[in-house]
Amino acid sequence: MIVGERKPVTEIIDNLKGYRKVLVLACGTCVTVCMSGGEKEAQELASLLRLKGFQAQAQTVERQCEKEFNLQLQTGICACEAVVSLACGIGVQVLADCFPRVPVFPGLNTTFMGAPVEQGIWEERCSGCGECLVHLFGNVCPITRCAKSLLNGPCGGSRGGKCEVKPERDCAWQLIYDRMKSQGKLESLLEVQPPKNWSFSRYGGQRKMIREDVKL
Amino acid sequence: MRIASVGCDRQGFPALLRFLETFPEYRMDVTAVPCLGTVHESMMLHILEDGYQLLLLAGCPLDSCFNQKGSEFAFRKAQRVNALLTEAGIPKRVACAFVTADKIGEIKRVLESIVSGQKGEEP
Repeated sequence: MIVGERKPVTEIIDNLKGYRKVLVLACGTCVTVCMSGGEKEAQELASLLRLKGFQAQAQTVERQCEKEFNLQLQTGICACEAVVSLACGIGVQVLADCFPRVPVFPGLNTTFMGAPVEQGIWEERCSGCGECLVHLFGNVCPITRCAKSLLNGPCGGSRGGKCEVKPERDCAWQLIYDRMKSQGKLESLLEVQPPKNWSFSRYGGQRKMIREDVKL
Repeated sequence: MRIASVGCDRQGFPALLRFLETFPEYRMDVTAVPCLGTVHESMMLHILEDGYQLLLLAGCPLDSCFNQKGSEFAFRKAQRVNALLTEAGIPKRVACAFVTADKIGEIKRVLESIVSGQKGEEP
């Protein structure tokens, strides 16, 4: 899921200078699960904004990243002067595309694609590189989880199974080794991986996927 | 200072009623809930929006909460709301008092510490 973190309230309030009627819009998917942009957080932010003198309302859209879900907002959104979207960066942009005349401000900083590892802790798991190779590494992604993104690791700097760059983080190659050992596939790690084809990653700019088979 | 208070049925609410009988100089609006753990952040903020400067949560002692974790959950939520209020620069607060019906002095201590500008949310 996409993990986000609420912006500081002061930054949100600064962005809203000059506006009075504000709609705080929650998203019902990823950011609800990571407890940063769901209905509960939207209601809290709307309360804070009202205490600061704004006329704020909170509303939730099931998925802000799909325009069909945003169209139900047509009447409500026109009654407000500005929107604070608590969706990820995708949701903010899709919402703004749906209602180009309404100023939309992000209420979250979108941080990464990750997973909850325990209550209150989320970790990055995928960099969206465009060419998934996790099966070669015991389903532990070295691109994302190794500080050096090594495909032919380990680097030799880890100590006690921890990363030398951030000692509080597990060494991805230790995890890969342990997983491959448990699967009896250690010898496959001796195979040298060729340089990764980064042309599928985002370094060439925005990516786009077209599927003729599902187009209408 | 306008004060609202929410007390749990088991200990907090009876303690609040007894406190108001014992110290009639204090005035506050009192509400009862089945357990303090049911008071969530939005509810606290809504109460503060109604013009109260302080919300006092009164519940069972932390180590003998009737519902095990109700008071602890309420305390953590109050801390979170206070952090949000501080972040937004809003001078309203949520305070917690963990009491029994016989131990109402804790309510007075919390209120006095808030009034004197000290942090009153620590148990």
